[in-house]
Amino acid sequence: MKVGIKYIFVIPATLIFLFFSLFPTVFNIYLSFTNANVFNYHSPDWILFENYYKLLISPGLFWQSMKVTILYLLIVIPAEVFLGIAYALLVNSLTKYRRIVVTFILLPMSIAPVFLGALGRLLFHNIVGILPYYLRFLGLPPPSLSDPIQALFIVAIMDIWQWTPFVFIIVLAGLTSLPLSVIDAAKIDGAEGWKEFRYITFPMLKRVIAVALIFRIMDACKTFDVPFMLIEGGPGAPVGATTTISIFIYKFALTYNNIGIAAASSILLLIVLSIAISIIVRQIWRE
Amino acid sequence: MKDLKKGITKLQVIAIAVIVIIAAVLSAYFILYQPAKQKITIEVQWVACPEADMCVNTAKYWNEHYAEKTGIEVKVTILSFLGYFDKLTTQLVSGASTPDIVEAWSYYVGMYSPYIEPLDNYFNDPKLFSSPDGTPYNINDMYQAALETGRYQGKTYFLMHSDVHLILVYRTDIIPKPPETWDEFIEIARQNTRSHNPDSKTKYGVAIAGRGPIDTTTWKTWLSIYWSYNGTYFKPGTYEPDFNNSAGLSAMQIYDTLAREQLVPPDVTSYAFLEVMAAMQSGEVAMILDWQPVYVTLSDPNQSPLVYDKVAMAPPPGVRQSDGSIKRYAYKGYNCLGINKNSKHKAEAFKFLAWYLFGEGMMLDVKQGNTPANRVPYENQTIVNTYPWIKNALDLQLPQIGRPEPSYVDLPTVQSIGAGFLSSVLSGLNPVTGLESLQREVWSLLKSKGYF
Repeated sequence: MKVGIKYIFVIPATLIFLFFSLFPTVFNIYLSFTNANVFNYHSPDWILFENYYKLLISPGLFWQSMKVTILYLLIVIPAEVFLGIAYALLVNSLTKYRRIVVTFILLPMSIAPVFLGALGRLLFHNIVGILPYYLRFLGLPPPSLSDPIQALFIVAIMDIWQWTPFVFIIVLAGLTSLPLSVIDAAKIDGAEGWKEFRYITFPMLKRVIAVALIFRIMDACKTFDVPFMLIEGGPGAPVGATTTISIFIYKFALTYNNIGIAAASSILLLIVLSIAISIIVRQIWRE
Repeated sequence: MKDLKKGITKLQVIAIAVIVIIAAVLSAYFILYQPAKQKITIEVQWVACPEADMCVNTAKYWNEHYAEKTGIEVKVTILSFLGYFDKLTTQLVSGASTPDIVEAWSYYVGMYSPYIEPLDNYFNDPKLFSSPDGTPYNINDMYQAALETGRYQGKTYFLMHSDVHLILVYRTDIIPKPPETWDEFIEIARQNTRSHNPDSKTKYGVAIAGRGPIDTTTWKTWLSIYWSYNGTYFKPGTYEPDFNNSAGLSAMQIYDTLAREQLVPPDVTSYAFLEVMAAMQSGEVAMILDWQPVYVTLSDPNQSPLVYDKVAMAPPPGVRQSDGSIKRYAYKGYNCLGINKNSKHKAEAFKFLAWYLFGEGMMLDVKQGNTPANRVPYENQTIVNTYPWIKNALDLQLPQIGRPEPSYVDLPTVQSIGAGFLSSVLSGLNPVTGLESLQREVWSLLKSKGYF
């Protein structure tokens, strides 16, 4: 009887998984082997591995978008981890007003990314934007969304501003749970400041930082809202300067009307991410 | 016992009397009283644009005057411009029953035809193709070209709402005479760009749409330039694209000049048609190439207080021919409306659509600034004299210089490809490389789809 009841309780979650995870994944795999588009969506033709071949061989498509995504990761991840740890160390050393400071630091995370992207369009608008206005006032050239490198950095800065608090809060939680006895013993032995951080605090925080790192890498790979709202993944196309892999998949599905290619891209992304994350996790856990 | 029998009998009599009275009252109620007709609500979905705002007011008029009579209430939903067609695609492909009427652009007629109700039989139904009081409408009131644009493989899927052209809007206080040729256009842009002329009243000489590939206004702007240089779309008699030629290069070089000499705002690759209009509203640009309806907003003192009395429309510049005439084209597109194939109220939707595009609704939109695909306003001198945008359309000879793209299923995809490469040229890509890439990608797409 007890065994039977156990399975009954699992049924709702299983159904949700089947309908909202397993079925879409299987259907997506099916679409990736077809030439599905808007016109023939309900009766596409089988083309087997043609989509995968096109994505893997064509230089300007999938790999170009992966390059943009990796470049984006190389900018945002180190900055967020560095700043997150710095904020956490600072806040951890506070004796007063800690809660208020933490609240203010966490505020950017509460903003919807799509709103941030829309806000960015006003903020960076060359004619009516407040940022170019003050930069010109200071005699500095305003950033341009038409420049590929500047556009990527603008998107990266917005991501860093919004998601550094995520790393901060995880690291802060780690810092507050470190055993005080170890730190006190280290202080007695003369380890202070940078030495304390390097030889005592950081090694104990490694796994916490690794967790934050994995979450941020997965999230940053899925970045869509800000570059899309700001500049539709451009400038340039089909793979623009800010066309992350998520925007690439979206564009091919709905803008370039090639649902088969978009489905194949998402499967390739799943494979690449699974390999990358498993390598990172194994490396860090080994240490 | 006898007393009890008497009581029961009296009770029965009273009960029967009550039942008879109630029955009589109820019968009288159902015979004499006509309950109000149950209203059906149909949803009309638009992308955010001036025409959508017009539809809101016109639908309100319908609801106030005809909802009771026809039993049809109209609700207008306006969606954000960014990603509208992506959303519309998912709505139609998923088989959703709402919205009942969808707005699209004429380039999507072929692509969306599997999901839109063919309308030919509805025109033949006098109860539907008539005004709320029964006056029949005439299908020939709509321009034949507009009717053709809404057809795919012989069936009518969409009806055209607004006839929209790409035009030049310029500052009359700065530019005494609008440019006639593209060379004059560039020169005037230089004179009105502060980095070239410190005395310029405006920061930039011109603003154009530069965003892509989801917004494709920049592709349509480029085509207006390309056609004026005698560019052809397809090789004659085929669907093989033919952009990589001297006309294409000339048109690309104009884009390159605008970007390289910074005659356009540096963030121009984030501009769609609304941002171009906003640039003019800010007073910081001297000319824009944009869609006709923006003129209504730009000449409104409430919406454009800085420039409303200083703007005028002109046809896009062109290329001077050997006989001295100017060859110019204004890209022509339509906002169109179609009925969702899965709508539960197709007949009611058509009833409203007929009124909206062939009857009183059409004139209500004209009063708000619309330039319809219906010939009636243009052939009525009183209307022409009353509404400047109708007069402007005739003065600018837009019906003569207007040119649409050829219609085929993959047109929206080709437009996106084109817009993407133009955006790249505006952000520094070599124009020759841009043109070659454009030709190659469009050629590959159409070849793979079996067009030639």
